[in-house]
Amino acid sequence: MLFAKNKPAQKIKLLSYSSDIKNGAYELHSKFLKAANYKKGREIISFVIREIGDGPGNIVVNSPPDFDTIRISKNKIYSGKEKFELPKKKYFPKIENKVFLPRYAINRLIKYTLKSSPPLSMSFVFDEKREIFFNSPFLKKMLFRMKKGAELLKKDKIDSAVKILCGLGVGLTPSGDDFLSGAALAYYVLGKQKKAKKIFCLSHTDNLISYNNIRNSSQGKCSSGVKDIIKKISQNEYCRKSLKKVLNTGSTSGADFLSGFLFTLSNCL
Amino acid sequence: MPVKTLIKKGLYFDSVSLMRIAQKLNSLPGISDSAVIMATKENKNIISSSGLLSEEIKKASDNDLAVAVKADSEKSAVQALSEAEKLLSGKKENKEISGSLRACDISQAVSMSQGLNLALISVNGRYAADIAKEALEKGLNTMIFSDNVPLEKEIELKKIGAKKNLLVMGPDCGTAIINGAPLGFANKVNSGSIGVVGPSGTGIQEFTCAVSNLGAGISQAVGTGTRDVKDEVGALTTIEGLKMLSQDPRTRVIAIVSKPPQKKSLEKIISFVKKIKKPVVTVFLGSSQEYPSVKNIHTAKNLYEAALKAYILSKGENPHLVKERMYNEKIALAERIKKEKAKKREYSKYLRGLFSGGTFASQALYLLQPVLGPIYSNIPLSPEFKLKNSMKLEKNSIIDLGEDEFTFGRPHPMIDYSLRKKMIAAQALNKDVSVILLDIVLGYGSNMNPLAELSDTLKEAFKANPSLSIIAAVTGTDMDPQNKKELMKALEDTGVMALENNYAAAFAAGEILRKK
Repeated sequence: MLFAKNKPAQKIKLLSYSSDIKNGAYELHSKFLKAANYKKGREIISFVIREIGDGPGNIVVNSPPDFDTIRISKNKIYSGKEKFELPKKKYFPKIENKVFLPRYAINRLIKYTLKSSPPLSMSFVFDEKREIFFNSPFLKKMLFRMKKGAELLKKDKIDSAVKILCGLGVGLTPSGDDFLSGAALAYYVLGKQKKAKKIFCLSHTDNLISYNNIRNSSQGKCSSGVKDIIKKISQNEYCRKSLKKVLNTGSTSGADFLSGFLFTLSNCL
Repeated sequence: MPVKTLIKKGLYFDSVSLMRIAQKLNSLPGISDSAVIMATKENKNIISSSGLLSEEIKKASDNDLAVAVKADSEKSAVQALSEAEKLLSGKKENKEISGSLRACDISQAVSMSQGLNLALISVNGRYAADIAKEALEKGLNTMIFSDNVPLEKEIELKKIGAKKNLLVMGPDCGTAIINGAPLGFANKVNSGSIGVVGPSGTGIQEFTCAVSNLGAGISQAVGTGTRDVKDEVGALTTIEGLKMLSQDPRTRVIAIVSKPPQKKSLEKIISFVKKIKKPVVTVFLGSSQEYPSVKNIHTAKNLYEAALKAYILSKGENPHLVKERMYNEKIALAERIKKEKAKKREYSKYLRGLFSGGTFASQALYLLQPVLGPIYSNIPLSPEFKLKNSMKLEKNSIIDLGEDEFTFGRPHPMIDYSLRKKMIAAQALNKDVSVILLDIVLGYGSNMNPLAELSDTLKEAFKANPSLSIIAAVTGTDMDPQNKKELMKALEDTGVMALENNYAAAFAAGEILRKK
C-alpha cells in the first residue's frame, strides 16, 4: 500500500500535560525517538510518549512532533499554521515533603535497582562489584571521581560533592547530574528542603536538561513514576512497574537518578 | 603517545551509545585509551587527568561532544577518529527516519530497509525501464523521473503495475507528493483532504500550491508521466491513481489535471470516475467538454478554477461559489491593469510569453488566443502558428522553454534561468513588445534563488523599454524554501506585476493588451 493509512506524523495527539508548563515561545533543543525537548531561555519542556509519561514540564503525546518552534498561549500550542488545544488531563508534579519511608522498603528498592541497572550507571554506590564495568583508564578515572563525589555527599559535604559530581559522566544528562537530581529529591522528601535547594544553587551546569531536572527535584517536582514509587513505599506496597518505568528513562539516567535518590535516603534514615 | 581529539558541537547522544562507541574505539589496534563524552567542566578534569586533553577540548562547552583517543602512533589515532566520526554519523542516521543508506541496486535497497514501498528512478532513459521493472518485481511503486524511455517499454511497465496494483508514475514524471513527501519538482504544501492525479507536472504544482494557499491541503499528488493519456497507454496510471485515491481514507475530493486525453483514454477515465463515490474535479486544459450525465464530475476550464472547486468541495460548500470568487478577484486587479495600461505607447502592442512550464505555456495559449487572436508558439494551438525559429519570436508569441529543443544538453529552465534571461533582455529591446509574461516556479528542485538571478535582467529590461510590463505568475507557497510571499514583494519592488497564479497573470496580460 503506497498511501499511508495513518494521518501525517505532525497530527499529534496531546494526552496530558504538566501544570508547571509556562506560556511563551519555545524552540527545538533536542529530539529523540521518545521525546522532543524545547527550550525558552533556561526553561525546558518535553513532548514525550506515553511510555515515558507525565513529569515536570512534560506534555504526553502519541508521538514526538517535528516542529522547529512552538508557542504556548491560553491553553493552546501553536506551531506554524497548526494549533492544538492542551488536553483536559493535567499532571501536578509536586510531591509532599516529610513522607514516611521505611528503611526496609528502601533496601528492597536498592536490591531491585542493582539488579536492573545498566552496567555503567552509578548503582556501584550500593555494590562495589559493579565497578568492574569501568574498565578503560579513562573510565577508571571517572569512576574514582564519582566515588569521591558520593562519599562527600554521604559525609554531608554537599558543596564539595556537587562540585565533583555536577557535569560528571557520559550522555545527554551526565550521570553525576542525574545522581544529584535524585539526591535533591530525597532531601526534599525527607523535609530537608534547604539541602535540596543547596544542591540546585551550587550546581553550575550549562546543560539545560540537567539544570531543569535538578531544579525540579529541589522543588519537590518529579515524574509520575517517581511519585508512584514514593507513594507505594510509604504505604509499604510493591512498585515494580513504576521502578521499571523510571529505570528505563534514558539509557543510564533513570538508574543514576534512582541511585542518587536511594543512596541519599539510606544515608539519612 | 599521540592524542587526537574531535569536537561535535551541539550533538546529543544517550550514554549507552557513547559508551559503545568508546568501547569500540578502545578495541581498535594501537588505541590505549579513549573518551567519548560531553565536554562539561568536570568531564574535562578527568579527560585532563587521563592525558587526553587538547586545546580543542578546553575550548568546548557543556553542550559539545568531545572525542579523544590516545594511540601508539599518529596513524592509529587518525584512523580511530575517523571510525568515531563514522559511528557517530551512523547513530544519527539510525535515529532519523530519512537516514541515507547507499545501495548498489534495487535488491540491496529492499534488503537494507524494511517497509520500502516506492522507488524514485532518475537515471539515463536507456536504463530507466529495466530498473523500474526490477522495482515492480520487488513490489515497489515507481516514480520514473527519467524521460526518453521508449513508449512500448512504458506500456509494458504500466501493465505490470496495473496487474500488481502498483503505481508507475512516469516516465517523464516531474512531480509527486506521496504521504506529504514532495518528490521531484514539488512544493511544500499543507496536508489535507484533496488528492490529485494527472500527466501535467507543472499543472499539478500549480494546483497543489493554489489549494494550499487557499487554506486547504493535499492528501496525495500522483504524477503519471506526459504520455499516460495517449490511447496507446490507455491512461493506465491515471486510472490506477484514481483507484488508490478513491480508496484512500484521507482523500475526500479528487482532481484530475491534464491536457485533453485522447478519445479512448478519456472514455476509460470517465467510465472509471463514474464508479467513484467522491467528488472529482477535472481540468482538461483546452477542452470545454462537460459531463452532465456523471453526477460526481465537476469540470474546470483552468488550473485555478479546478483548485478553487476542489477547495470549495472539500469544505462541503456549493462549487457555484467559484464563479463569484473568480469574478471578484478579476475586479481586484483592475486598478493595477489600468496603471500598466497608462504607461503604454502607440507602438507597444505585442505579448511575449517565456515559460519554463509546458502546462503554463499551454494554459496561457488557451486563455489568451480568444482575447488577442493568433499566438505564435513552439507548441501552437494550430500548426499554422508554429514558430519557424523558436528563438525568433514574432507578433504575439508564447514559448515553452522546457521543450526538448531548449533543454538538450542544459538544465531545465525551472533551474537554469540563463536562456530566459537572454530572451528577456532581447525582447525588452524590441519597442513593439508591450508585455512579457513569465512563470516562476518555486519549490524543491527549482532554482533556489530566483530573485538574485533575475533582478538585474528585469531592471535592465525596464530601463531599455520604460513602457514594458513584465507579469510574473509565481507558483509556490510561503512554506517553500524560496518563500513565495517574500519573492512576490521583491518582484513588485523591481516593477514586476507579480501575481498569484498563471490564470491571473494571463488574464492581466490579456487585459493590458486588449484593444479598446
